[in-house]
Amino acid sequence: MNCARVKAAVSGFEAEFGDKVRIHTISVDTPEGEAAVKKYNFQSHGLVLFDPQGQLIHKRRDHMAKADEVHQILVSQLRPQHRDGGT
Amino acid sequence: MAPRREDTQKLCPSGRRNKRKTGQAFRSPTRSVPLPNHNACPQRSQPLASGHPNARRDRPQRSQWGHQNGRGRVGQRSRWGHQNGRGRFGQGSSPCVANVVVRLDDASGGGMARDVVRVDECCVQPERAAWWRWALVTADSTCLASTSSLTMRRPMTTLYSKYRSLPTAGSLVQRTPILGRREVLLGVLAAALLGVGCKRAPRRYEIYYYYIPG
Repeated sequence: MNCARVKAAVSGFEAEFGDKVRIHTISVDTPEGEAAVKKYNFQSHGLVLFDPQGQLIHKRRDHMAKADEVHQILVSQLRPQHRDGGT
Repeated sequence: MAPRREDTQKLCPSGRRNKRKTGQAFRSPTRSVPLPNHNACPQRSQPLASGHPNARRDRPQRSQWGHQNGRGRVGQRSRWGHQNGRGRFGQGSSPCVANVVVRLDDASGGGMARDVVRVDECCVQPERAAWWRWALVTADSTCLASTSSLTMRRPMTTLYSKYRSLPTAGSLVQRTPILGRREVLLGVLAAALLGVGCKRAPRRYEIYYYYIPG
């Protein structure tokens, strides 16, 4: 259930932040998902966030992944641009 | 305006080079064996007719002098009476070929046209610089101009002047504008690459959420 909630919340970021954020929701059943689980050392699932330069700036494994936490990061990172774009 | 030679590359299979400098006359040949009276290029003084065998375009690899482009008919006797690569007088003689790029005056007034032609240079006993013969041959083996006989010792510049003096010499070769297809293609490719770089989507924050299905 928590997993589905995070997925839904994260998916909403794209609408909120526009083209500044791109969301990829990938099932761990897929080859890409399996590879990511191994790569990021997840137990079953997880979340990673990359900045525009491709640097990994946030990683949460399994049930430690929180949509609110990611939202806070995005807001803090995009605050100047977000305000400029919004007003 | 005289045609200008842009590039000359000697491709003599024997590795020998003509000791004569451009613009200088050849030294007097010291022949001991009479040479056959070979005809010069039949088109040296008039343009080729469309039906002329030398104007045929279905034999692009063979010049009318019996040479394949730059290589000669190895093992066969050429029209010049010597075996290609060995020469009439044995070792040291070889047909040489120089590839040149000649600028021609564009008769249509549209500027300069650049045509790549081949200069067939048949040299017998190159160490003596004797019995040279030159011909300007287009890529489709059309002879544009040549020296008139084996004993003709014309420098290349003279031959260029002769070539230029042909009334329709420019029309015998396929004209390529200075900005040729290769340059155009390279320009398009470079522009495309630059365009891709400019229009690339802006980088953004990326979230990857790997979820458990179901």
